[in-house]
Amino acid sequence: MSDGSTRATLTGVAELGFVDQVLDALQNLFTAAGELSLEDRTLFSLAVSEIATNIVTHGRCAGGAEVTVTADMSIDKEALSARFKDDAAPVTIALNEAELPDELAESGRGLAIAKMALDQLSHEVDEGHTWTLVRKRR
Amino acid sequence: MNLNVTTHARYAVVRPEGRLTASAAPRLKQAMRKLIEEGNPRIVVDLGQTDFIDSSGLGALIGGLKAARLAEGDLRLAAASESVQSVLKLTSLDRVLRDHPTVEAAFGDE
Repeated sequence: MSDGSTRATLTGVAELGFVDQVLDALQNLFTAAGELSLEDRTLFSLAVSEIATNIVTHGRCAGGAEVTVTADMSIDKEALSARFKDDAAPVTIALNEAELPDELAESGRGLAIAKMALDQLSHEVDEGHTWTLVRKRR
Repeated sequence: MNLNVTTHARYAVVRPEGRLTASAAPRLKQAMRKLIEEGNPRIVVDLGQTDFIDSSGLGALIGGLKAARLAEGDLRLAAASESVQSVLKLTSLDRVLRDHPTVEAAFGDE
């Protein structure tokens, strides 16, 4: 591409199979991007998996209609980035309060892990939700 | 994810192959629950073929660990890749989910 980045965009129904498709696409993006550290690949995949799983697990549309989500992921010389947009009913998420639970807890780690794995994680609510994930390359 | 389960004289081995995420975690949990119900509470999770783990996979392992200990057994990890080890370390779960170099070494101290 002209700006030296590699990019993948997927749109689908918000269900667990979509998370697998996103992780497959990310794997292909890593291959296309060439040299990337294992730490960057692992921690960015981790954050993407956590946010995508959160969207497909918790997102609900008014009236019970299916939630549609678009994932847009890119890698350039500076960073690994992803943006997720969905049309789920607006819900406020207190990202700043997300922290790791007790070590024997079986759930509740996702958002805290995503924050730890990224340099930037933001969530905006409008008619749906927009998540922005950025990890600077190490 | 493929999941292989084998039982041995002193422990059982569960081997998840591929990604251990939300779509795979319920099957891992079910396999560990079945082993414990059948009287095999000493479980080694062989991560040698596990490419990736996220919080759903970690949650399943913690659930298995607690259930195994309740049944007077234990759950131990073996052969985790560098990628899986880095996630365990990031979450500080390497303190409760200890990795061993091989399946045989996991219960080798007893």
